[in-house]
Amino acid sequence: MVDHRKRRRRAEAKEEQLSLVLHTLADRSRREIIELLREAGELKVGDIAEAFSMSLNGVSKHLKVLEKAGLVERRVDGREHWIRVSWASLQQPYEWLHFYQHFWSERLDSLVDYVKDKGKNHEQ
Amino acid sequence: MSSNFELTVSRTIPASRKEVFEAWLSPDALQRFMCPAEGMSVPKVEVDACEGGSFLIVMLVGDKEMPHRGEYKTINRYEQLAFTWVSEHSMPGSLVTIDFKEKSPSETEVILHHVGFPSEESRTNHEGGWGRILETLGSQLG
Repeated sequence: MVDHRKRRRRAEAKEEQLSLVLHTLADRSRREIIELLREAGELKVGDIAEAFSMSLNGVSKHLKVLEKAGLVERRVDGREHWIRVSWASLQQPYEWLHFYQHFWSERLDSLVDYVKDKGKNHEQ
Repeated sequence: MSSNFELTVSRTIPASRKEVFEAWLSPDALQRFMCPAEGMSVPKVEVDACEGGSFLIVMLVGDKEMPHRGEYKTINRYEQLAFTWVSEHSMPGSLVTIDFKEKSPSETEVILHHVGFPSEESRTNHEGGWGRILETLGSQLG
């Protein structure tokens, strides 16, 4: 029973983390920052600001939100702040995708079975 | 990036478009085909089949109830059905759109599209709104 509750708490924490990640990525600018970092690897905060013609302040705000969701990591080297994607946290949206791909695929198979059964009953 | 949160599944169903469409709005049919696996059951289905109406599908795994809720956005007989899809603790903004295409009088192609962010969520895409949501989520996580 304790195990069951622990498992449930873990599952709930995971779902909440997924919500946070997806909410964070619901913003187009933040998705574009991730996309840029995906292509570039690691970038300085100033480079990201320049790429989007954004103020340093504006980019910093987005980066803080992305960091809070665990989507990017920051490395401080002297005066430079380097940002890169944290791939582990992006795994969750992919899991969501795979879960629902499987879920709906199975539901449609069941729908086929359902209409076939219904057809048979009508014939009788 | 946005395409990462969309998926499409399609199937040809051996029944008329009307029959297949109505199955999605029938509590009796939903109880049958929304049951995810053997050993699971769907003890409760409530459907208010009108645009703006809501539905509730409770799936039971062991002793754990998993409610799935949503609101019908489009009910266009017998062409398109769209509803929001929210399961407990999962992402709040997901939209399922189903297109029904007649392949023959007794065959219907069903194309189901599930998107992670419905457009109305993207429209509230300003710092304030998301800041508040993140704060709420943050306090839940803490």
